Amino acid sequence: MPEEDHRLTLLLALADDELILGHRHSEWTGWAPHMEEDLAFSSIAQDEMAHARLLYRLAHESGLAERDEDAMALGREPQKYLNAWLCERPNRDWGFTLARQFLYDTADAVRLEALAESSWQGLAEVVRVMQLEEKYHLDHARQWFSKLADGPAEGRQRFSDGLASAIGEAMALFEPLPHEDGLVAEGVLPRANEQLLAEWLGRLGEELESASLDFVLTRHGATAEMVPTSSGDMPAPSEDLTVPGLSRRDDRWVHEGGFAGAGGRRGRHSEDFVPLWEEMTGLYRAHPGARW
Amino acid sequence: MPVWDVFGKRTAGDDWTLVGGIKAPDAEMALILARETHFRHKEGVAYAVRHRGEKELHPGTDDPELIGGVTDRSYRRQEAYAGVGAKHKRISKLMAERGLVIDRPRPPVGRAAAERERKAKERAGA
Amino acid sequence: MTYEEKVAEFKGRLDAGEKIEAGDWMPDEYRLSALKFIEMHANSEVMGALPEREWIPRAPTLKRKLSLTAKVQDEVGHGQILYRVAEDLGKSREQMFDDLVNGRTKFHNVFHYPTFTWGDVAVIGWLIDGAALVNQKALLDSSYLPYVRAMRRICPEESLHLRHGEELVLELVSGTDEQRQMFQDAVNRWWQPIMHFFGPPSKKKDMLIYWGIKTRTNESLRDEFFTTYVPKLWDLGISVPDDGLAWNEQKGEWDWSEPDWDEFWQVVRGNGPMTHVRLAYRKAMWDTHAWVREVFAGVPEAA
Repeated sequence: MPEEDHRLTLLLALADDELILGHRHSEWTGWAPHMEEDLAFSSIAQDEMAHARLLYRLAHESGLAERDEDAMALGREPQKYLNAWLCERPNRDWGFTLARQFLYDTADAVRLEALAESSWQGLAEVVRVMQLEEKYHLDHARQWFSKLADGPAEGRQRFSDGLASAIGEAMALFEPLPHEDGLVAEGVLPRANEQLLAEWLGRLGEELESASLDFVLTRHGATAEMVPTSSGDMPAPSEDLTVPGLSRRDDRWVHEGGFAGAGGRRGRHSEDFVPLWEEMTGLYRAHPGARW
Repeated sequence: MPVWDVFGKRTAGDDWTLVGGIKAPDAEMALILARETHFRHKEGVAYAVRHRGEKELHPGTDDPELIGGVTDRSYRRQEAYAGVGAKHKRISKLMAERGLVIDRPRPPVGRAAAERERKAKERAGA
Repeated sequence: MTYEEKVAEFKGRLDAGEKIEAGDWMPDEYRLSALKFIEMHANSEVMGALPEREWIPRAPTLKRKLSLTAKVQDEVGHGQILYRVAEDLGKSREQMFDDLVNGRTKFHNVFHYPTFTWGDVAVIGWLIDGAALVNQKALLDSSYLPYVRAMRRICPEESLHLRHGEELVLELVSGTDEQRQMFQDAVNRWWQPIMHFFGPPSKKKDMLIYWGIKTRTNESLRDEFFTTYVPKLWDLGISVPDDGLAWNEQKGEWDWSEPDWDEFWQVVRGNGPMTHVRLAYRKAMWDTHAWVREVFAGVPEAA
């Protein structure tokens, strides 16, 4: 297979993650829980969508994709989008939203650090620009992390619930790309996704442990029933439902085996993708060739 | 919830100028929020917050070039829409050629501009 | 000095063109008048965000997706600026928000109506923002300086929105037949709410004008709107659903058909087509996020 196709896969995985997550983030604009935070979060949403736009343009300008940025963002069939499942999930509540932002942007930081050294100059340049804006995303995520982790019981509960719900599918941000070996060999992807995942898990484990939130790595999915305690309601002890693919080895968190939410990089999506896609692309597709 | 006064500098040599206020629980969150509340359109090269009633000024530590974003923000800047007036004229001409312009009594040409001028003079003279 | 004497002196200074600062002494009537007006303005920015934010997920190009997000972001920003000004007049933002979502305070009529197509986005972006800008520029002469400073910040952003809105309109009217019709339909549906927006016929004694908080009458603002926008619409071949609308050279103003004011009163009192739904959304968001306010305040919220 010509190597060009595989670079397109990498670009689309990145761009689609940013577009779909940016789309979800932008759904908070106008009614987020605190007015100044509404403004901050809207900027983050716009950044992600702007990054997607840069990446679609790069695909077009490098001859990897014939179609323009709008056709790529809004004109593909659902199975052609290569975003991770984490990005397409609805916002649910603010706790989940912030947990997802934290997990995504810390993972993205690892990914971008590697890609900033890509042998593909065009991509490295775009990535370095993206990193300048991602810094604010990380500052934002870490501020909320500390406010919620160290704050009142309910806030901490909602954030940790969000983390527990999102962590499984967050790992699939690093699901290996089809034909990744070639990209790694050429230095287009300087380090394989498995390696990037290991880096991220190492940092994440430490960060969660320092806030006593590492228990979210041991419990997958929805919480059990709540029981009252003197410091506020807490979930009742439940059976250990481990996060798919996550294990503890030699005092470290590592990935072994499969992924929750696998398939995104091959265009296979969750039940939440098509409703999102219909809403996002409906008007564009209803008027082919129209200018807006 | 505390109110924080927000200060900015348009250029590096300026003194701190009060630009508005925000509500936030502490200085660190206030800085995160002040940046996008008052500087997302690149209104300054530096910003700071101060808890109302206190003396300490907390400056943000951002690189001046990063404030207001780095990637293409033309979609939310005045310059990008500078050609709209000319576009309107061009399309009106097209409509006239197609005989679609609606011919009903309207103020003489320049009336809108004359009114704006008159009001501006009133305001200046007041 | 007695209270009445102080009030008379205050009014004298206003009539002489003096402006009032945040910390100045002011009569209770002035403070309450200004607070109520600015609170309603802030409420309107925040409720105006709701019809427009529905189209962010559906925007037909990436550029419009970004620009519409930025526009709604600015509206929230305007609400933030205005609530800040109102807070300094003596009412907390939390109380103002609580009153809004529970239907105790008002917001502009136009934001009680539904949107159906991208044509509505264009109408809101050009004609409604245009109407708002006519009002807001007039407020630059308000007697209350913090409000004037807020307008100085808001007006340039609103002007940007206006040009953006005009660009949306121009693409539709010069586009496909479907797109032209989309815009014309939207104009037909929104025209009466826009007429209502400038307010009912002025009362003989308008307290807002008495105190200089507002400086121009509803009629004069609507007339300026006609002059600015109707010829432009006609030049694009777009009609407005008012056969009586025409410039009257003799009177030096527009003739137009008075709309049904009963509908206006119904709407602003809380019975518009979308009032309950939109307030219910906002109330649900407000109530279910008490925990966020608790995190920020550090203390549990009073029930």
